[in-house]
Amino acid sequence: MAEILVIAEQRDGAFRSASLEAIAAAKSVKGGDGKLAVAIVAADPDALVGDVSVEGVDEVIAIKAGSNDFQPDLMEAVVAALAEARQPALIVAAHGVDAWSYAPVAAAKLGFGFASDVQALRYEDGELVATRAGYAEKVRVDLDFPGKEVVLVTIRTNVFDPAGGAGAPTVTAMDAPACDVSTAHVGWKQPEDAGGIDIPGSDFIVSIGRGVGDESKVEQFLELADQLGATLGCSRPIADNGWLPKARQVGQSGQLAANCRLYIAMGVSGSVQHQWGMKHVETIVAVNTDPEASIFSIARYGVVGDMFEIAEELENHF
Amino acid sequence: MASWGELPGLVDRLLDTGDPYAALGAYPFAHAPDRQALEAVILATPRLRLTFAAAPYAPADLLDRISIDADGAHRLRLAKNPATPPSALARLLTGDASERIRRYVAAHRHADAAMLSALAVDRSVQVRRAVAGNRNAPRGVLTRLVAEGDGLIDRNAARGPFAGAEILQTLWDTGERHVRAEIAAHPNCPGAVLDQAEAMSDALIRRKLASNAGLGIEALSRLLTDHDERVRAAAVRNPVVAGDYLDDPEGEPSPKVRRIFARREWLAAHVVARLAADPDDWVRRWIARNPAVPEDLMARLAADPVMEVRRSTARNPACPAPLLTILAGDPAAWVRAGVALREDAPEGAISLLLTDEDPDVRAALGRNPRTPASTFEEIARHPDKDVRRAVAFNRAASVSVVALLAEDPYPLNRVIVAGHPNLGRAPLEHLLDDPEPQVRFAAAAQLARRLAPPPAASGGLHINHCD
Amino acid sequence: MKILVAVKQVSILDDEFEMRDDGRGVDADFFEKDLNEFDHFAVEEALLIKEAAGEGAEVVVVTVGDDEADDALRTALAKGAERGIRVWDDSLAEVDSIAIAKVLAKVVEREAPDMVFTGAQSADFGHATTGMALAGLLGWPHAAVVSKLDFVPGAATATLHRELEGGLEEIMTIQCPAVLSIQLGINQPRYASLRGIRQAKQKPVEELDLDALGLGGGAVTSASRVRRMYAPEKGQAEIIEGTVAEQAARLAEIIKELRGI
Repeated sequence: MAEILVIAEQRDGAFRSASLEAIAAAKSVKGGDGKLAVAIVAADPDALVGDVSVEGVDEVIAIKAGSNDFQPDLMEAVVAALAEARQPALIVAAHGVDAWSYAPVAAAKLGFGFASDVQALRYEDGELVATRAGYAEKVRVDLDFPGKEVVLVTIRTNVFDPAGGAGAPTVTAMDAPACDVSTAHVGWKQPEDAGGIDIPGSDFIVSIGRGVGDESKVEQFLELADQLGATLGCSRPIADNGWLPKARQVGQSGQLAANCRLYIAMGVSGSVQHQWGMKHVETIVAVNTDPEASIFSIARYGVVGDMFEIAEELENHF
Repeated sequence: MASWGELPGLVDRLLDTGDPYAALGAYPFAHAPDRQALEAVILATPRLRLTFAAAPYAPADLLDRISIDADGAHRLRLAKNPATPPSALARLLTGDASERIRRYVAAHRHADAAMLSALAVDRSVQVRRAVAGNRNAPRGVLTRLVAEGDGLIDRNAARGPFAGAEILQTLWDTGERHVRAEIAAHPNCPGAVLDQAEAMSDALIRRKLASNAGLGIEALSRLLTDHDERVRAAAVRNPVVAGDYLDDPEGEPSPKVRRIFARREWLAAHVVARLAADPDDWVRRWIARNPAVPEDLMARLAADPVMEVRRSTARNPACPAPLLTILAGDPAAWVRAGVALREDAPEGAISLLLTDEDPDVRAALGRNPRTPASTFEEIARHPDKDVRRAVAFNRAASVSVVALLAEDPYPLNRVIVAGHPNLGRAPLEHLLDDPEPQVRFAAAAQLARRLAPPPAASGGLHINHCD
Repeated sequence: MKILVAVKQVSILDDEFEMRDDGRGVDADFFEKDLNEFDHFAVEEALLIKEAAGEGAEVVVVTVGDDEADDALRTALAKGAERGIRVWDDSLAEVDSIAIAKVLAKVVEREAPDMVFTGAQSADFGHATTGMALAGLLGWPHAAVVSKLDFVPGAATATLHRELEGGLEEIMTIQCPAVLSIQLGINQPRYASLRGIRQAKQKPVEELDLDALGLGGGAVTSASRVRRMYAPEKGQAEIIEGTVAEQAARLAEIIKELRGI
C-alpha cells in the first residue's frame, strides 16, 4: 500500500505549525485505504508527537536526534532512511527555509521526482500532479513526474488550512541515522527592533509615490502612517525632492522592505525600481487613480481611487 | 546626408544604428516623413510593438499608428495604456471589441462623450459601470445609466462632475446611505437635499456634507459644533470656513480636529498662538509649517523638543533667516537637511552645512542652486548613488559636473542627467550608445529637443516610468 | 582562490500575455529577459571576497542557457567577474532545476572552486532548488538563504547567517568548500561602470555543450515535467469597489485583520 510521508519540523524544540499545512496537503491526496505517516526529528521527539497527532495521521515516527539543531545533512539522511524503509509514493514538507536547505538536496541525491512551493496536489488518471506558480505568480504550472516512484514536494504556506482535529496515530520511535554533518549551530539573532526609520525591519509599511504632489501633503501621510502604526515609505521622486529622508525610500535605489508583511502603496505607479524593494511582500494593497498602473499587477487588493480621499477616510477608522 | 548638427542628421544616424529606444526618443520631434522611417525601426519586431503599445511614455502619434493594424494583444495593451489618444481608442471600438477592451475604453481618461454614449448602452454591466465612473461622462449618459438602479452605477454617477441636480435628487430619493453620502458632498447637490442631509442621524452623511464646498457658512458653522469629531474635522477642512469661523480650537477636545485647524491658512494670531503651544505633537508639527506663524512663535517652535516640529519650522517659507542659521546647526540631520534644501537660506547657514556628512544634507545641497560649484563636484563623486543623483536635478550644476554624472555607473542617474540643459553635446551623443535602453531613449529625446525648431519642441515628453 | 557563481537569465512576463499553442508555456513574444535579481547579490558577495583576497583570486560566472543568456554573463563580467561559462544544448530547453543542477555539477567538477554561490531563488519561478540540488549531487556542504557570510579563502570553515521566517537568523558554521544560496540584502550590489561594461566585451566566455561535459546521450534528466501551463482564473488583485468611504472601510478591515487589532 502506497504510503504518504510528511516531514514535520521543529525549530529550537518548538513545533513549526506550517507542518500542519503540509499534513493537510498530504491528506488532500490520501486515498481511502492510504496511509499517512508523519516524521519529526528532535532531541525529545516525544514532546512533539501531540502536535502532529491530528485527524487523518495514521502513524507518527518520532526520531530522536542528538540535538534540536537544524542539520541539513541529518534531514537528508532521515529522508533517505525513511524512503528506503517505507517506500512512500509521496513525501511532503512545508516550503520553509529549512526545507529549502534539505529537500532539493535529498531529491537530487536520491533521484526522486521533485516540486517546490506547491499549491495543490491531485491525481489525474493515477498520476500525481502538483500545481505551482510561475513567472512571478502570473501563471500556474501543473507538473507531473513520469517514471518517478517517489515524489518529494514542498508546500507553500498559507494555502492549505492547517490540519486539525484529534487523531490517534500509532507512535514509532527510532533513532536518527548516523551521518556526518558539515554545519554546526552557533546561535540565533533576533530581528532588530531598530528605533527611528526602519524600512528593512518594518512589518507594516504605508508608501507614497509621486502622486502626493507637494511637501506639506507628505506630512499628511506621515500622520496617517503614525495613526495606523505603520512606517511611512516612499518611491524615489519623493526622496529625490528632499521631502522624505532617503532612509524611507523603497526600491532598488533605496531600501528593501525585507520584513514587511503588509504594504499599502498609495499613488505609487510601481516602476521596476520600486517593485524591486517590495514585490515580495505577502499582502500588497495598491491605491491608485490609474486602474492600469503596474502596481496592481502585484497587488493582492486594489483600490482604484484618489490617495488623498482614501487617506482622509481611512483616518476615521483609527 | 544632412549634417549631424540638425535634426534630419540625427534621424539619419538613428535609422543607421536601428536602435528602437533612441528612435522612440526622437520621434515626437521629427517631421512626418522622418516619423514613418522611425516607425519602421521602433516597431521592427512583434516584441517591440507589444512593449510600446503598453508603454505610458510612448508618444500619442505612435500609439495611434500602432492602433491602425493592431491585433488582439496590441489592442488590449492600447486600451489599458493611459497615453492612448482618443483617435486610437475610437479605432479599438470598431469591429468586434472584446468586453475587456470595451471596459478599459469606458474607463479611459481620453474616452470622449461620443464613445461613452455608445458604451452606455453596452450589453455588459461592467462596461456601463465603467462609463458611469468616467469623469468625462456627460449628463445625458448619466441620466440614462441611473435609471438602471445598479448600486455601483449609482455610486459612480453620484460623483460624476456632470451629474446635475435632477440626477442627484433622483438618486437621493432612491439610493442607499453610501450613495446619499456622495450626493451630500456633490457641488451640484440641490439645496433641499443639503438641508435633509444636515438633519440626518447618520454621521457619514453629515461628514460628507461638511466637506461640500458649495455649502453655506450657516450650515457649516452648525456642523463645526457637531458632536461627532469626524464631522467637525471635515467642516474645519472646508475652504468655505474662513475668518472668524476659523476659531475655537481652544474648546476643541479632539486633537484630530485641532490638527486640521493647524493646517488651515489665514488663521488669526490668537489661534496660531494657542496651536503653537498645543500638547499634541502633530498639532505643533502642522502649525510649524504654517506661514501665519509670527517670528517669536517660530523661534519657540524651532527649539521644540520634538525633532519633526523643528524640521517643519525649517521648511516653513516664513522662517526668518537668523532662525535658519540656528537650525543649520541642529543636532538632527533631517532638520539640517530641511535648511540645506532652501534656496533662500542665508550664506551663513549654507557654509555651516558644506562640511556636513549626512547623506540627506549632502543630497539637499546637491539640489540647491546656491551651493558653491566646488561642492557640486564633491557631491557628484559621492559614494552613494542617490546622493550623486541630486546634482542631476540642479539647474546650476556646471557643464563639467553634469559630464561626471553622464559617466555614472547607476543607469537612472544617466537617464536623469541626459535631460540636463548643461550636459554638453559630446557626452550627450555618447549616451546614444549607452548599454541601457532608457538612457538612449532619454539622450535621443534631449538631442532631438535641442535640434528641433522651437514650435515642435513644445511637446511634453516626460519619462514617467522611473519612480 | 576561485569562487564560482551560477547565474540565471530570468524571464519577466508582461502583465498581459498569451499561452503557446501547446498549452505548456507562454508565447515568447511576451517576455523580457534579465539577470536574476538574487544573482546580483551572489555575484557581489563573490566579488567582495575576491577583492579582499587580492592577487590571484578569481570569480567565474556560469549559466545554463541559450545565446540570449550571454547578457546575464556580460552583466556579471562588467561588474568585475573574470570569466564566464555558458552551457547550452537544445535538449535543455524544457528541463527543470534538478536537471540544470546536474549540468552545473559537471562544471563545478571541472573548475574545482573554493566556494559556489547561487541566488536564493529565481525571480521568475522561485523554485529555490538549483543551488541546493547542486550541493546534493556534489556531496558538498550547503546552506540556503544566506544573509551574512564571513569567509576567508583557504579557511576550513565559514560562518554564516541563514535568514529564517519572521526575520530571525540562525548563525552557523559550515565546512568549505560549500554551496551557498545567497539572500537579497546580504550586501549592496554594485552597478557596472561604463568602462567595466566595455571591458566585459573582451572577457572570455567559454561555450560548452553537453558532450564537452560528458553529459551526452540523454544523461540530463528532470525530476518533473510541465504537464500544462495556464493563467489563473482571475487576476491576482481583488479590486475593492464602492464609494471612497466604503473602500476605506474595507481597507481598514484588512489592516485590522492582518495586524490583529
